[in-house]
Amino acid sequence: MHDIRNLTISSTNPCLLVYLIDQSYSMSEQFGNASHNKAFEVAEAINDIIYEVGLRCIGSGGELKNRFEIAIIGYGKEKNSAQSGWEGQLAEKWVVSIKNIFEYPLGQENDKPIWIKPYAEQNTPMTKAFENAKRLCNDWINWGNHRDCHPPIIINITDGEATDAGSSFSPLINETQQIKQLRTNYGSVNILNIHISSKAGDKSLFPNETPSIDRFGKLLFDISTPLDENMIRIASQKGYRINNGAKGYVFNGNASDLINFLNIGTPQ
Amino acid sequence: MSIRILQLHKRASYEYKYIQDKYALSSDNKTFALADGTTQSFNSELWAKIITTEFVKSPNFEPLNLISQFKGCVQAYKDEMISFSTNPAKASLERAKQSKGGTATFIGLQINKENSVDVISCGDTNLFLLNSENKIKTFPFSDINSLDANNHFINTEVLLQNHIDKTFFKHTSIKCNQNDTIILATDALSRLILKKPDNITELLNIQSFEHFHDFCIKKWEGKELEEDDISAIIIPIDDSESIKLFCPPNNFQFPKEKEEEFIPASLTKGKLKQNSTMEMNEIRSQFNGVAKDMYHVKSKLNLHGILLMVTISLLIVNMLMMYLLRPKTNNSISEKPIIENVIKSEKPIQEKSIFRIIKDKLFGSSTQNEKKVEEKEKKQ
Repeated sequence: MHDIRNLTISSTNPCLLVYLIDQSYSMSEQFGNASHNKAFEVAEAINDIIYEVGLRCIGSGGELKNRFEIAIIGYGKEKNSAQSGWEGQLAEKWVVSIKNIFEYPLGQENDKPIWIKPYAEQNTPMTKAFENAKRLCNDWINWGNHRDCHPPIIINITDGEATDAGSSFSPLINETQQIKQLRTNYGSVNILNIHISSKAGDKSLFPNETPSIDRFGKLLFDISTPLDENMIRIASQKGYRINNGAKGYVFNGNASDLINFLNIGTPQ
Repeated sequence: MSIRILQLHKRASYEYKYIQDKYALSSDNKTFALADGTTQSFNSELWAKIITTEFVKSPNFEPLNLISQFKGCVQAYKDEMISFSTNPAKASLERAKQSKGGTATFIGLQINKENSVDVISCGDTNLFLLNSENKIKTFPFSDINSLDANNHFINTEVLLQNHIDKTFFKHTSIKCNQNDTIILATDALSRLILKKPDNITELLNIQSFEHFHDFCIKKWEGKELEEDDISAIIIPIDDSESIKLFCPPNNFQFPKEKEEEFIPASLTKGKLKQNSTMEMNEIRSQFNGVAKDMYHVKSKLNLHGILLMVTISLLIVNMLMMYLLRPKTNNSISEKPIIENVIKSEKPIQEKSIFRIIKDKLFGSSTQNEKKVEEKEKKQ
């Protein structure tokens, strides 16, 4: 395995980000103390993250470097179904390069482009979403020079109540274990979970210990992978207080912090 | 020995004009500066060029004075004409990025009389001093971890907000000897030297751009060197004033990667199945056709099996009959008398076929029948 400290995410060595978005009915509940619902919070978070990624890929001449490829898998918009979450002209795509993402936004809001709208429709087939993510990551790793790239990062944003994992959640746990076996020459696939809840609670960012929220919170913490050594190094460098072994689990926060932990050339 | 400047842009930048490391030097007052414009900030190569040129023009080793000097340069950076993209989404990014300003690391030095060297630095661009005994001194970072932990950069907006103070800068004065060599290197190369100091000897032996290019490619391919802009200024502590620049020629560029769209085969196939009813029907009818053919093949195979069994059974029966109904021979008679008998017999002995033997057994032999017919005729 190569030293990830020598790896810069670039257009020659891009990174795949896979977002799994919960679009189930429960997402229509209010988000914490906010006036909007959880679905709105998720859509806004995804649009913000894509914009943040764009900021890290645009060069001085206005050209967007394909440092990232992004997949969005929505689950629960249709019953028992996990499908590509891209809309508009990107609707038929699973994975889109950052260059094409900024060519085809859905529209603009507050002078910023948007790609995703909020949905809160059916049940929560989270296992199916992870199964699709597994197939997608496997195909991506085995394509072109991707074995020499940063391992894909799966970011699941949910309120945690999977409906296709039984009472023991074993099918879901099994899928995530299979995902963790997939690897590039720089390490295995990362799974991060962003747990958004109706309960108002303190934001928890990349903890080391199991949160005492509920059994869904514990499940999401358990299936998350630890942040890799490089992420922790960069995070500490940027003033985050993250310890070794910290898990990729966030409670009532968003993932824009995570983009700051990736080596995309010198920041600032 | 000459002063040598080595530069190669990262492969992802394709062309040398996009390199974000900038240098400036003055052989008259023996002043050198190297800055690394950061990848993620706006027009950082311009900011790196402005501060290196400014330093060489008027070297300053007092941090507060240098901060004020650089602050005075921000306007020159902002005056650069920028035309935003016509794509509203990209223009939004450009505006957001421009508002965050330009960022660069910086290291500057001046060789004074009696070979003392003043150095001032902000960020992870490093100095290495190699003496005649091949011992290396470093400044400001002596190991990778402290270099990686650096969090100080010179950003135009932060300068204007007076949020850059003297703690951002490190300053020292180093005593050198004749025949010592100073190397200024940007972060990727510094990391390589800190990890394996032997690399410094290889670097010092480089005497052409081709040689430097091969060195970088070898280290990139071997995953020892980070894929970044690579810059070094090699300064011998002697009276040399000649300068050699080893940078890519005008016609040099790294190949652009093919823009092939990744399509996940396993998910796309699944989607086609779900979406196209026509295709599903076609697949179903083809499948039925294959199933029908399989049925025919299977029934033919059954018939062949039965025929084969019958043939084998007949063969076995035949062999059994041959064994049971074989003609009785006298083992005590030797071969010779038999031959004699054959010669002596009046009628040739007819070889009996197996069918004939069966017939004889069932209906009696033909000679016996003939005798019976003769006896009947006599009686009549």
